[in-house]
Amino acid sequence: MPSVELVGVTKRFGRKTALDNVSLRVEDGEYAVVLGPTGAGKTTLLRIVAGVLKPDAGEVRIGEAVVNDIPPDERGVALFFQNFALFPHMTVLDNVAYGPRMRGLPEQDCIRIAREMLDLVHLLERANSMPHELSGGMQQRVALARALATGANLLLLDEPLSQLDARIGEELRYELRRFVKDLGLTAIHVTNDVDEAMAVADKIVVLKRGSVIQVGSPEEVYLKPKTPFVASFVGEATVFEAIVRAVDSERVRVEAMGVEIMAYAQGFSGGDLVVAAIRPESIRLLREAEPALANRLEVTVERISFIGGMLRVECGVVGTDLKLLSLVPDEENVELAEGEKLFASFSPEEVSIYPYPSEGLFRELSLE
Amino acid sequence: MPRVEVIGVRKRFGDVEALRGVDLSIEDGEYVCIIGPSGCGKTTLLRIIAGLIPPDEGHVYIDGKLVNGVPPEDRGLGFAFQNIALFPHMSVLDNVAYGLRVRGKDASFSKKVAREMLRISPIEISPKALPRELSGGAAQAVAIARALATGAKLLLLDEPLGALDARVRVSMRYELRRIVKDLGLTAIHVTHNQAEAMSIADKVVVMRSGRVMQVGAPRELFWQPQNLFVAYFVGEITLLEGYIVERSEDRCLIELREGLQLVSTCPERARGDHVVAAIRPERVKLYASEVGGENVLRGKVLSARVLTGVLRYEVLLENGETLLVKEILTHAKRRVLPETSVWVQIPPQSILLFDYPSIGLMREISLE
Repeated sequence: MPSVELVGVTKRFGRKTALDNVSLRVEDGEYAVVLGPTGAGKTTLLRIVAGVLKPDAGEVRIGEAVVNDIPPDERGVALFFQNFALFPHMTVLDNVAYGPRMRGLPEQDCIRIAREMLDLVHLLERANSMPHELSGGMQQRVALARALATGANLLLLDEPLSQLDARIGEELRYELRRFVKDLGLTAIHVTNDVDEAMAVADKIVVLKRGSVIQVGSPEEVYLKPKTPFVASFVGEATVFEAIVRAVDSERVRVEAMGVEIMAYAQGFSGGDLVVAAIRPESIRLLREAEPALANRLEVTVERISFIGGMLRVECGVVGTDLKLLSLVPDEENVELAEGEKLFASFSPEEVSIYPYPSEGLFRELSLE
Repeated sequence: MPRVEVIGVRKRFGDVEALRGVDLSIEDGEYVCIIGPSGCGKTTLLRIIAGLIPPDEGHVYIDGKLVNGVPPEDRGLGFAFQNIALFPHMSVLDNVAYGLRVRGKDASFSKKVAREMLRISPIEISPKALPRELSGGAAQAVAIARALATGAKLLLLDEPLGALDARVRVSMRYELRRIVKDLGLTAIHVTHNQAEAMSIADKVVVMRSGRVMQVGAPRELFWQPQNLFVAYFVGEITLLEGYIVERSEDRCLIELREGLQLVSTCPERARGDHVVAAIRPERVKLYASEVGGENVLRGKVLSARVLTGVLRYEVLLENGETLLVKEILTHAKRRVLPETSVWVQIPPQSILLFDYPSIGLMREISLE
């Protein structure tokens, strides 16, 4: 079973640096997701692991062996791309049995493995169908069964669910993780979809403009984003510029657009320009009478959207231009209305404070 | 007066019945999303409203006027369809200003409006760029800006955000709704992404196999779906098969597999009815220690995932079935780890009951 390690990998295409000194380790049996916007270098990274591309500098290790000079078909990897075509003239079973046959296994083993993999993706009863008789979602599952049947221990997935209807993709992402775990594989999965990444990953690698920004469990990346970019890219957040007005041993008071906010943060001094970020579910919306946390701001509800059983509420802080984003449960007995005045309340622990990015906040948050 | 009315519309392509009698009424100023799995007929319906294809039967009214036989350009619409290309030889700005120019508006006014419309794009786009220099997402943003700039009061959008990265797509959907509302337009937006539809629409139309399954506000569809397909399609839900074994005036007792019992409020059900109990994960409470009350069941956590803003649990019940639970995520809340014994509580009034489908549950909710 393989671990995968990249050490100082750099790749340029002409003048563009696709990957800039990337180091990364994926443990044996781990499900890693490389997450980033288009152009971050995700696919380049995956192709370098597969051996389809050669790095300009750095090492790729699979297991403990350096594989820089090993051709793709000897690396023990299975590749699965978004527009992976099935062989149109072969039955579903023959498509899946293709890999084992190429490896020269006895015919009954090829059939047994193919049937097992089809069973895993719940398509055994369609073994004798032709690909064109199946829906897009089913074809995708056949393609996955074919990749799994190669017997490779390392599965590389490039946007595996992006061509599917959203609801099918949501169902399939949990199945995909289950297949990988049931077979004890190591997986590296590339996507620009944060929700997909959070649902399947043991470890998320956030990539931006060819550099690794943060590596951690979904929980760490979401709850302790290392930079303003991670805060705004991995889920929604209110992100704004602020100035430090006062500090004590563990807390700071910052001001943004005339609004004062308390936060737990260290290493800042009065007058520092900083960036603050708050996750929407950290901001509670209260009526006047309810007890509030340390930060309590009067707000006007501007827009309520319904997302997955929750209410996403855009608020404006009364008397200022500061906007806050809140996520609250959609309770049966609570009605919120646009235009209503409420109190937004959040704890100082839930405010992340970052040094102001050297390239400016706009460029820091840019998804390109 | 409704701006758009569709009455008894049918359309057949060879052997395929794309629309099997669709009625739909859209009010002035409404933002309507049409959702459904691939092949449900949603794009065909939009194209019939646009006048790009004629219906076999039925009528389409726009602003009270029958428009059957009226060509698209005389229907007063702006549209952004997936495969309607930008003019390749014109700059981005000229593309967006085109609709106004052909209506005889002067160049400086047209360009001013075009610049404003381009501001909806969360991706930075140079007004001077040529279409071939744009990414797929940027080209899509330009197509939307062009549709808006025509000044048409009715906007038809077919997967307008489909080429965008997931994260950009989320930001842009709120922008799109905001600008449609600011300009007082009526919009019909077709998408396979139910989360997108639910978050921005005033009214959502769920289609399947050429028929309208339900029309309603997003929260209405989510909390009061009229059938199992809608219940399943608009968001995750646990579906448990059972029989009504007892009923009193306002309550009934449902026996699930292996004799597990649930109490539900259930009008219009009789003893012996074969039912499906549908439970939204957001309504279930999860406890790490034993609690009293109605519908408290024992279980074991199979998986606990941190998603964006939400904790998602799969809980194995004592009868071997899996119950989904979702809680809003906060720093204060500790994630219950897999393998932990837990107690779940399902409020009786939150259980939705449906007749067990004659074609079987899996086929009834199939997304294919």
